[in-house]
Amino acid sequence: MGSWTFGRRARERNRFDIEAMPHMDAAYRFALSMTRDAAEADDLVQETFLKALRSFDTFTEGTNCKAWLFRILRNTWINRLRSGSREVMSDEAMEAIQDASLAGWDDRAFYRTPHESSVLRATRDEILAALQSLPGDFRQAVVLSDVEGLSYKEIADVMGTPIGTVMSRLYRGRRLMRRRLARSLGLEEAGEDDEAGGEVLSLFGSRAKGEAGHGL
Amino acid sequence: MDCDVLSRYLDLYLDGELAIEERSEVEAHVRTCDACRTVVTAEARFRAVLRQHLLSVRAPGSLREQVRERLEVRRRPALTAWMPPLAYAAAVAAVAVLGYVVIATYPKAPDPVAGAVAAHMAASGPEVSGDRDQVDSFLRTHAPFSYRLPLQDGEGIRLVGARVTRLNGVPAVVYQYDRGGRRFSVAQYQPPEGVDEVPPRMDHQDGYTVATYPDRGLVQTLVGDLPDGEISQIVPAAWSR
Repeated sequence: MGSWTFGRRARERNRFDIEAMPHMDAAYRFALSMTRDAAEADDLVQETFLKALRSFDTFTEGTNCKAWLFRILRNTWINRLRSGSREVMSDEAMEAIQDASLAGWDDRAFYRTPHESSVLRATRDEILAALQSLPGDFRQAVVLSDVEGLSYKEIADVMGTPIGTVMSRLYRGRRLMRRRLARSLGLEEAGEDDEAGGEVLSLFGSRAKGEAGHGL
Repeated sequence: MDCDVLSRYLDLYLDGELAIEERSEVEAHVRTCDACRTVVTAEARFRAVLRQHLLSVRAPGSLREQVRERLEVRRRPALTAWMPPLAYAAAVAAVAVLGYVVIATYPKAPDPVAGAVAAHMAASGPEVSGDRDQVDSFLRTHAPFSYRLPLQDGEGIRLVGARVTRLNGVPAVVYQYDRGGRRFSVAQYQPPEGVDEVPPRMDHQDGYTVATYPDRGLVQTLVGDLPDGEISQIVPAAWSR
């Protein structure tokens, strides 16, 4: 079989199509997990791919291109947040609220029969709603790990935080999400800490109104 | 290792972040402890469900199209930039000269050729026979994804039927066309997760000419025993639409 290519320079352009373009769905999901707004996610993905093409020579071949795109995406989003008037909450303040919300949580109870089968039957919308209720940084860590399969090191690079912070966000984010899900499925009664949860929602959830159907 | 320690290692274990020795310690404990095994298994299953649900969230076709357009605009100033219609024309020209051509090999792309050829050759008739409107109204209720009729009628080309099927497990619509009494088909599918861009390519297989090209988020594979010259007229027309 003979082979024929479009020439060296064109092949270099093609490399972008092959390496970066296949990650558009993933980029869109990650954008949604940050913006919780379909139009804004759209816009963010467009800007990200343009930037990525411009700076494609900085991408190291053989490394994770998806993680590289995510980093550009997140930086672009952070820049937008900073230029806007949106509040960013400190990690410590956020973790304090999360810990209050997690009081009394037990992994084993969540998966106790017959809970397990209800949990495994949760619909996409129920899972999305639980995920959406998390504060941004927790939600992003969960999406990057559980959906996109990034390693702790890659998540740390994307989010610009130490690995320890990634682990703590994952630990809290995952459990808080499961508690919200357990409550929405009626497996656990709403507790006093819902107030704390509500406070988080009002701080971080204003952009989520009416978007439970398609946001991450 | 005891159960309390395992709780602390649960995430690390399932995330594949433990060193080999720690990993074997966890596995040794889980083998002998029913309670921990239940949690580890259930958590792994729940993550699979979560992942499966969330991976179904995909970029809208309009976004894909906009990104592609904006990237093309950026590329155009460079005369040597890769542009699908030109690349395709070049490929077709190469086919004319060499008799056959394979445009590079792309490990991440699925190989739709064999599946499309099989679908083209399948003995079963179309699920719907008829003109453009009849095919369109059938697909509106039966197509497994947002399909798009791949070619315009005209220039001797006529849509005569379609079938909903699977290519290598991926849901697809196979359209049947008539061109001056000869049949060719176009298999259309949505690329599976992680394979969004299929570069244009032309192959020859089992006596058929097979042209694969991306079209606004979908992939189309034309299969026919038409001369390459005729395919070179059909495909760029589909592309430039």
